[in-house]
Amino acid sequence: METLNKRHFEKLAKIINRGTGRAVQGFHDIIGESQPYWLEKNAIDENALQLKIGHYGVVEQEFTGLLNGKVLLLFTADNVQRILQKMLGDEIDAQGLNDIESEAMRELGNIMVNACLSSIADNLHVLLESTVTCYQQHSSEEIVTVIQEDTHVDNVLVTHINLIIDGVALRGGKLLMLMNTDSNQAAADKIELFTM
Amino acid sequence: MSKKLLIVDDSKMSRIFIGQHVKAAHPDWVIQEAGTGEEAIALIENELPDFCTMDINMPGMLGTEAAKLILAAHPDIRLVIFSANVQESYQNEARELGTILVPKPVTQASVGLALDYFLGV
Repeated sequence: METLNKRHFEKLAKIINRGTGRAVQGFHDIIGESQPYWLEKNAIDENALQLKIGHYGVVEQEFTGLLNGKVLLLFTADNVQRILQKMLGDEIDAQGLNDIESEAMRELGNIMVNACLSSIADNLHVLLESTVTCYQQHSSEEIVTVIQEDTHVDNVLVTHINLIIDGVALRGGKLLMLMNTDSNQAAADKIELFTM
Repeated sequence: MSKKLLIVDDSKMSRIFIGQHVKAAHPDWVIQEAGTGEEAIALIENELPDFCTMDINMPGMLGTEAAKLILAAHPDIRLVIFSANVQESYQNEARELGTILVPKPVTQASVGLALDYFLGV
């Protein structure tokens, strides 16, 4: 049984980068992203993830199929408020934003995460099933703990995402793909067939 | 003549945005909403819409399953799959159902694609 190796990881990162490219198309000029990179779970901490101390809005979605895992989409609490203002317009007040925060962030996450999952599915010619998104606020410390305590995860693919709103870059967004990559012959075979 | 549109999506925000774009183009249309496939099927038993937008990932049954049941029972309804889940497998499933998959996000352009399909433009 083959374990996913560095070459597989590089190919998966490339595929997921195409997925974030799809999300960019969906949101026109408001999203920019960096090249994704892998971290082993035991190397995960706030520094490795480049998390700022403080609270984050976290959208979570699980997926199953050839690959199994979950995706976390993180934005700092400050940026969540700015994103919501951009999505919903200036006429909505602070209370209105709080009321619809979970709903709006779940939908934003739904679009971005599904762009990545669809990229994996289409490039590997498989179907990935996914749960509905959920949204919570977590501290940076809690995010690291959640990842470290997840016994199904051995590797994390990290993509840094920057939103550009009205010409102002809101840095610090992260898309984390938490996966169990151990002993997955079927995935290794499919990823081998993918040509960049 | 006024038409009825059923918007099926677990996201209230998506339902609101789709409804706003449709109303901007067709103020006389009547909008109905459902948050799940099961709810949509129950609603349609009581009141038949002319058109329907259907999300895929929702609590309960998948939107594609609900669409299959709805179109089998009511083939005259013009239905589009309106989802962020744009995997080729789901696009093929939409084609097999004789419909199209309109990708989210909900924008004037994406709602326009659905309206064009509804009206046969």
